[in-house]
Amino acid sequence: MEVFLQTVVNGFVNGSLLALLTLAFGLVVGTTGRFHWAMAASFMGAALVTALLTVKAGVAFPIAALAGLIVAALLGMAIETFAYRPLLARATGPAFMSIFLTSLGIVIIAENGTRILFGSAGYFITGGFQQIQSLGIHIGDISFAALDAVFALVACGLIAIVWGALNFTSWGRSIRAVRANPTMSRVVGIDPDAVYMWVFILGSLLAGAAGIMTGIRQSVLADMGNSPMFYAFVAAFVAGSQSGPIRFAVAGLLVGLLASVSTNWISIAWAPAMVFAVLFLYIAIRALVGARGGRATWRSAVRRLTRRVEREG
Amino acid sequence: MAYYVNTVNQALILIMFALSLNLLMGYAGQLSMAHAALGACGGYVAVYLAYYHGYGFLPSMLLGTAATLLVGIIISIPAMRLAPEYMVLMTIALASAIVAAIFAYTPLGGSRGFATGSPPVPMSLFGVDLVSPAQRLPVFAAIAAVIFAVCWRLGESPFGRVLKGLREDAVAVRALGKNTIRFNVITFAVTSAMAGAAGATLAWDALIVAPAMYNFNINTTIITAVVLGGLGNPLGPVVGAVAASLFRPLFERFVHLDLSILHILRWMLYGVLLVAVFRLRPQGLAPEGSSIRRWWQLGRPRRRDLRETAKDRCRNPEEGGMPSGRPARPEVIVAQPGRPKESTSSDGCALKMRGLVKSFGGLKAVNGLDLDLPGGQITALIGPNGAGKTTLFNLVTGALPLDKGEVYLWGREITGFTPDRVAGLGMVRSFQDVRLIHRMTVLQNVMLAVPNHPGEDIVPLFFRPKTVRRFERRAEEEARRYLDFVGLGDKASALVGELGYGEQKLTSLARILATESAVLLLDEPASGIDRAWLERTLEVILRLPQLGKTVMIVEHNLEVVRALAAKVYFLEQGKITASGTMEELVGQKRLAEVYFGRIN
Repeated sequence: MEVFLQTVVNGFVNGSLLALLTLAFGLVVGTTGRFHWAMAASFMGAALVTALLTVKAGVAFPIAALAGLIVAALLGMAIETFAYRPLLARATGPAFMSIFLTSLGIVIIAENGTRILFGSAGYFITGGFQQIQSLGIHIGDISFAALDAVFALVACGLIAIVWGALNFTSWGRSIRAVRANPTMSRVVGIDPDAVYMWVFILGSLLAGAAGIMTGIRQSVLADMGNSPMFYAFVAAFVAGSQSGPIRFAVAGLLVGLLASVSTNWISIAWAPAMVFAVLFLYIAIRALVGARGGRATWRSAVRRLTRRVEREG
Repeated sequence: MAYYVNTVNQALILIMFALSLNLLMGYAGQLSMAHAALGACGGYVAVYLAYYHGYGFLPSMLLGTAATLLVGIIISIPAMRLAPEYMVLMTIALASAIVAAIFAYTPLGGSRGFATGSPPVPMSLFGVDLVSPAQRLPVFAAIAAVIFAVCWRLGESPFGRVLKGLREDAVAVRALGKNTIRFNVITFAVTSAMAGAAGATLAWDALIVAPAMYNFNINTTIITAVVLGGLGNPLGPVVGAVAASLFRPLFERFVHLDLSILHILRWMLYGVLLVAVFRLRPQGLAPEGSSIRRWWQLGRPRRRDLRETAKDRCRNPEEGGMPSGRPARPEVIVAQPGRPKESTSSDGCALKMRGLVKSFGGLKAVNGLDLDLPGGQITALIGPNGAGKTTLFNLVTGALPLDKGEVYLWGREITGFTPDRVAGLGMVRSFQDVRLIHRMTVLQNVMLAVPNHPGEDIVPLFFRPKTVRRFERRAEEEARRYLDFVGLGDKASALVGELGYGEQKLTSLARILATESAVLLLDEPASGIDRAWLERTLEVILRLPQLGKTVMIVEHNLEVVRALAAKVYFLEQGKITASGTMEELVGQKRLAEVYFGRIN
């Protein structure tokens, strides 16, 4: 039981960072429709800048982290401006494939460019974290690092801020309006392109924050964004790409927990396979009950399933 | 020398991968991120069989291919029912699951992989050991040729025509009676199998399998080769794979840098190419539709095209392409023998709707609707905006699921049938916004609708090519006849995008006629077209009952309704509230108020 609880606690920390990334990815996909796989570049870029500034230039961590976040946001804006928009402007049909593959190309460039410029060895973000890292908190038989607790709280705080901003500010309302119907939003005077840009900035900042925290917990590597992006991608889709922030976060948390639990209980190699199994079941169930016609939401899927059972029973 | 022969061999294997992925990405418009991982599936099965059970090259490769085929079927059946995004998600997850399985199952050797035997058993075919790269080259070329033939046959055939249609507009193609899931599953499964064959070949070339041979970078290389070569062209992947294969020898032989940096540079270059090609030349080096013959004829007048245009002109001498000409008298269009479509019922009623209910959230779009559609007539459905007219079409054809109620076609219940099944039983609908396949010619759009084409089935496609060819000729004749019927015979070889809106509407009419369905649901056939085309459209629709068609139109233009329909149903708030002739309905003051708004 203690082992299980310990696993869950560890998974919760992993999951909270993943929740942040899922929220970031979900917001971008749900609002702009772009499959922004290249968010991995913002994730890694923020951590890399923070690491380089603290290690090589000796800059204090808060300033370095701020610089990292700015770089993440700039990356997101640049990708939207120079990569996605020109593609969409020219596209006649569905641009899904070209956007996704361009995004993939950017990830590859960022990853290998980092290796060439800064070497393949990892960096550590310094700034006194190593001392705090050893600080443990013990509750009964369960122990966890104080720093992890701080990160989980930061992640939850950021998610709460985004939730509040989306629901209670006019800025958030314009994002929700564009997500629901870009054409109508334009009619009432909201410029969807401007909103998309804000969403890219917001998403990149959140991803950058998750990246910096991941960089502190582990180390900064060129490909550190790939595996979290994969989990965030899965989580965002299981949540449904038009979901609200809390739902994205919960899905991210659960996928993170699942990955942690299967890592601890079976082996680290099996974690992606477990996530795949869950995803496969999810897609199979959705295809079975909810694929036909229009939107397949969980609620409609459940309703249809119960009706089918009623009819046959 | 051996180095270069080896490079050629590697290029051939990349060609195998790229060819098969192009079938999926270029023709079917589905993106797979698991192509290299599926190759791993084939490679690992092959080497596992070789190492633990002593299988030789050919049997182990074939079994590896079969195993990958199975994986492809299992993965695609659920994923293909959902939007293409889910396919990407599923394949990314599949790729990581395959890698996970390799690492987790210890007999597969973890990250180091394992060999075909200990000591490694060389590749051999029919008792001949193929030790040197030069000996293996012809075998690889032969496998690549087989894969090319399969991809070419599937892509450049009636089957490929449906795939290209699905790529552009799956809903419209499904409404014509094509089982979209079947096409997608077959394509993904065949693609997977070919990736498995390529992966097994790669393993036997190296005499070892290891995860690094099929990792994310390799997958990117394959995708880059396909995109660089040109999507949707059978030659594209060959060109792209050759180009992508050149980088390695160029880098290794002529750039003098540290080897590890070189490889990083090479992967990065693939990323740059991916971004650059989509940005600068999305059609790739060999664009869709280009062929060696075209290149050969570049600059010369294309005799075949000239001949076709001349032929088209002869067919309709009086129609100079302007709407002044009247549609030619329809030739006798009879249902093809051997595939009759039921078009009778005991009470003469073509379509019956009973108690249909559909709500979207809190809005009841259709609310307890009953309607009988008399056979062999033109009936109209009118009503104010938002009355649920188009929703009704979506409901009876199965494009939207019903909340409640039953639908009967010629007395047979079709409630809950998929759009393709409904179309197969002889009821199709047109779309308000035409939904033609813009990158196809008018003729191809209509041919796409011809039902029961043996060329859309893989067994006849490969084993009864003569039947397929004969039917294709007949399908073309039929399509031309329907185009003549709507008066567009001279536009057969024009691209849809070049047509005016009125012509597009008539093309979509010809397209649903080509399905040979007895019941046609026309969604605003006359909206958005000008006077000259309107006349022709009306003339064509009026002639449909003579062909034994039952027609239901949804229309806002009451003049059009008056001209066409014997019986008119009035739909408001999801219910039929009145019916009769147009004159009877116009006489009712309340309906006019509902329709046009109250005048104070």
